[in-house]
Amino acid sequence: MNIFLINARFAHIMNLGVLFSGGKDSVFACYRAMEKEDVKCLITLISENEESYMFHTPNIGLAELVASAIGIDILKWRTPGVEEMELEDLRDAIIEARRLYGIEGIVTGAIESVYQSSRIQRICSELDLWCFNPLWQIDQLDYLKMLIAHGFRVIVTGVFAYPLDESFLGAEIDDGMIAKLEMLQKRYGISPSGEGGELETLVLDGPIFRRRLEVLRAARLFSGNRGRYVIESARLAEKPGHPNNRVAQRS
Amino acid sequence: MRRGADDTVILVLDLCYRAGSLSRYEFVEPVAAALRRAGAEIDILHYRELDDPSGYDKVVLCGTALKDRRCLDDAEQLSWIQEWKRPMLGISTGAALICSVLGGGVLPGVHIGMDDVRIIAETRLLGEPRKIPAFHLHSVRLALPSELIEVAEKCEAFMCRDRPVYGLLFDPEVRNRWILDRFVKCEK
Repeated sequence: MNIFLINARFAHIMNLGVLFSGGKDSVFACYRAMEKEDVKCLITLISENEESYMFHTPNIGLAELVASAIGIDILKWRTPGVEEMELEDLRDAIIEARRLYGIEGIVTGAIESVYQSSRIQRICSELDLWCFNPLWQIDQLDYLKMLIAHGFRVIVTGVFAYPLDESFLGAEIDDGMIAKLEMLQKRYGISPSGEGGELETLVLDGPIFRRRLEVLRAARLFSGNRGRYVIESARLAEKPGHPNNRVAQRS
Repeated sequence: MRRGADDTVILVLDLCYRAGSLSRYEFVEPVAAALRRAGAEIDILHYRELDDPSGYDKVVLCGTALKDRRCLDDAEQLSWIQEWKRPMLGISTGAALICSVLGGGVLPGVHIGMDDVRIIAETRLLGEPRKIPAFHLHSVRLALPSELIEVAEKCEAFMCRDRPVYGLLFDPEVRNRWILDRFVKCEK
């Protein structure tokens, strides 16, 4: 093989699709993918089952607004969210993304979940696609600190485990919250980044955002050990350095 | 390479499709982090950047994405593995690479997810024969050359007859970090 062909083989930039919820993990996975390859689309499964094993549900309707803020096309795919059958829906969504965008691989925000990552790996293997998990096995506290250091603004939109309480709902992840989560990890064994389903998040801004999200109206719903920060109205706002900002609003 | 007089430095070799690739976060960084947590001093290099491994005390050959077999096509660049006498651990594609360089066969065989590994021979790395749950993410099965001994059924683990060279088809950095701990603590 001559040197030109060797270099071409290693220089090829892949077209990728990111499994996307608008939460911190899928957004940060997208960020890392954009640094290395070409992200052609975001793929969002909208589950009708709030207890879905695979797919994030709180404020999933805002994923489109986050995608718009980043400036990447989003493919939305509905699923009844029935365990295992939703994998067929995911497979169909990926096939459609390949047809529309020519993607060669899938990116996920999986960190620890062998359940989630194995199933997506199998789908990719069957479809002869690459599969990337750029947050895999990352230290969760280091990861939260990294999010802030890279300029992401992340709020908590759901808490689903004791002792996470109403005070977390709508709060931004900052150094103080990370310290609190670290303490709760030591005392109660919660996963600080919510990998065990303890909490869900929404990203409002970050280095890959052309525009940022502004929450205009939201309600805190808390009962027992579970709570949701339901965003009723949000819009995109301009960012310095990013012209071409039309205001879009979702109510 | 950084080292003091008594330091043991482990070379963590990235076998992914490109230096600094998106796969590095998944197949190299978790292994490197586990080795560091076990007290090791490490250097991370991509296999295409490696000129001479002789300054290192131990080597870990990392895994790759299921579709990524480029390093197996470039095995000629890694022929030093044939002569390596110090501790070496191949993980997933890294194990397949050792097997291939030593003359064995690398055949298609996708294995994804948690599954038991049945250890059939006692070794310093894996301990006594028993079953352990392990995370699998590989697309090969191995036909071992005579120089390698099967340590776990279906060649999920092997070692060299006369050198501290090990291969694991499963991923020890997921749920089995004790194996990387033992590799760090084993003698130079």
